[in-house]
Amino acid sequence: MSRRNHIILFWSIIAVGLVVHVACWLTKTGMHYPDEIFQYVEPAYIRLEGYGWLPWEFSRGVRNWTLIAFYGGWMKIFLLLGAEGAWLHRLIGLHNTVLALAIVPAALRMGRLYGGEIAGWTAAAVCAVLPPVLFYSPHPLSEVPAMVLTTWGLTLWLEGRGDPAREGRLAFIAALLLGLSVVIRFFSAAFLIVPTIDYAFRLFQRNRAFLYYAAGGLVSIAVLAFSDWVTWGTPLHSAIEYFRYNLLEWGNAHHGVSPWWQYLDWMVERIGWGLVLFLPLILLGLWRTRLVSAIWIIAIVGLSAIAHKEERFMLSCWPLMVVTFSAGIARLGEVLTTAGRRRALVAAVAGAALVASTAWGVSKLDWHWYGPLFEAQQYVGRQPDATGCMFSGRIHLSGGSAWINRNVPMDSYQADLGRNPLFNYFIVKDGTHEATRARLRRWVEQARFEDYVVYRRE
Amino acid sequence: MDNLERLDAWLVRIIVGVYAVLSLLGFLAFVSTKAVSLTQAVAEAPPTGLEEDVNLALLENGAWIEASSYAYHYIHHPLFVIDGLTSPPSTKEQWVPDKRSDEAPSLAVHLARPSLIREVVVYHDPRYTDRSYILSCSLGGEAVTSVSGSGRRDARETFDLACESADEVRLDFDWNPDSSGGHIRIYEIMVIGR
Repeated sequence: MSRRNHIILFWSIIAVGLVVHVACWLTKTGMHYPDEIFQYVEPAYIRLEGYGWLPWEFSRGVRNWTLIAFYGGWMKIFLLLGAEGAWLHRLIGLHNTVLALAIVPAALRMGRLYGGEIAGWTAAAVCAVLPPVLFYSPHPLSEVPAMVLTTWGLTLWLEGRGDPAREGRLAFIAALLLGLSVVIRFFSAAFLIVPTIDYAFRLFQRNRAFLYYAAGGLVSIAVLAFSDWVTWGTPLHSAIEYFRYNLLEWGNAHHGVSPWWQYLDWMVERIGWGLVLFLPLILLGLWRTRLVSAIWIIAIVGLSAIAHKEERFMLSCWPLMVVTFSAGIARLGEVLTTAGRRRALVAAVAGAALVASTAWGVSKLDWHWYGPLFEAQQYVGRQPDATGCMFSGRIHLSGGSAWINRNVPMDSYQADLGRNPLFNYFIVKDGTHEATRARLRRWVEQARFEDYVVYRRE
Repeated sequence: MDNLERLDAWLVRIIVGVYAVLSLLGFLAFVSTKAVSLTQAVAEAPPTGLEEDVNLALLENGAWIEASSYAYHYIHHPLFVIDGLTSPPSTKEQWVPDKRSDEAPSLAVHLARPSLIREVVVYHDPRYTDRSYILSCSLGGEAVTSVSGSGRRDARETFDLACESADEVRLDFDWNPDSSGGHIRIYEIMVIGR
């Protein structure tokens, strides 16, 4: 492919990816998981606006403030540009979904290493519109920037292995990116195992890249140590507490335990009928991409060993699996035909089939989780007489303070506390005991958002 | 052809450069920010020329709050101190500053209009004993009169303030949040005047 065509194709893929990502962001409402609000947006919002709710993690210090400060910085910029309230949550989602496109050039370069142009462009095109990424990336989850950092870190590590002249510099940057992915999401450490072993092994071959890799890693550790020292008073406090809580105390088992095969089950559910195509091509590309494959396999095994499982945890595995898949396509093309165009056609059909089947699988997920409650909160926040708000459900299953955008006490419904005159607005879900109470007390219905009704106490 | 390559290179540099600069500037702006908790007035000021003293520190009298922080996990929101309940049924309905992040807690009740203040009554949670604070009334941000907390353990502390004209009553605490006495828990503040 000529350099000119390369540039045109690359930016075309980015443009299409951008349109699809933004379209998905526009059509998604609510949240994917409470962490996106209460572990990141809400703490930042408290610092910016002075009110909100913090979960137990911030009493114990299990979280570090690095990603919160990063998101908070962008929230500050959005505030200066005139955005406020719910828009801060939404715009961090937009930021993330656009940022997720950064995996495209990384996938292109990683794919090229294992299957030339065919694998590179297949990986890039599939990653630009990869449905699991489209689903998760419009949310302020830590998995999204962690995925970008991991994918780029691994790409630079792999490129450095084949380029002795630049290996030291690339090893340093790779370690920095991989280390930062661990800082913002501790489980990303699983993605460091193979590169670290690889660099350590080559140290015995008098390769000095390990030293550069170690230096990059130390910079990342220093970032975490400094962040924890400033916010929690002790360097590496959050990492130590995270390890203590999740592993020593096995606290991870208190949050949604699933069987060991759950991640495989989710993969089957997401890929669906495309598995008929995906599985043989993954197997075909497995040996060729053994380093990359070892990374995502180790990550999935590691995730499976932890009691608490969530599908979003495997987000960083998807681009790597696509690289293995693309290398399999390239290998298939080499077996089937010598004509470049036919190989490209095989790759395009296989890539499109994977995207289509995965899109079908991802469409079964909830795209509007708690969206109506968020809209009801927004409605209450706009009422000039609102002095307090209670709602059906638990506090962490709400949009948080950004959505109400008003400094009033906001809490989950409690009958005793509800007698306090401050609480004059109630968001009640149909069919709950508080809905019966609302009718008995003759509260006045103000608005309805699907099965959530906003009442005002007269 | 050359132009396209140059454009491609510049485009990448601009996107990465602008993103990095904005991220850094935003980060610096964020870490240098620490907002206080400001509420809104939801009612009109009481009429002037009242014949009797009233509690001016009520939401329904147009008062609003400026607090340095509150216990975010337990939602001990500062508005509870002007809800009119001096001994509410639950211990949640009190203001408690955030022990982790607030080095110098303060709570200001802003009145809807400059008023004559005769007395301020502070209702503490009697389980907790910290009374190390300075209470002041001010007008336009300038302190008019200041008194110190009594140091006693009474749940109800009364201060006879002679503030001719003030629009704010403020409590500034001196605390060691890690000490056994480092607990600030206030149910209500009444500002009596007209």
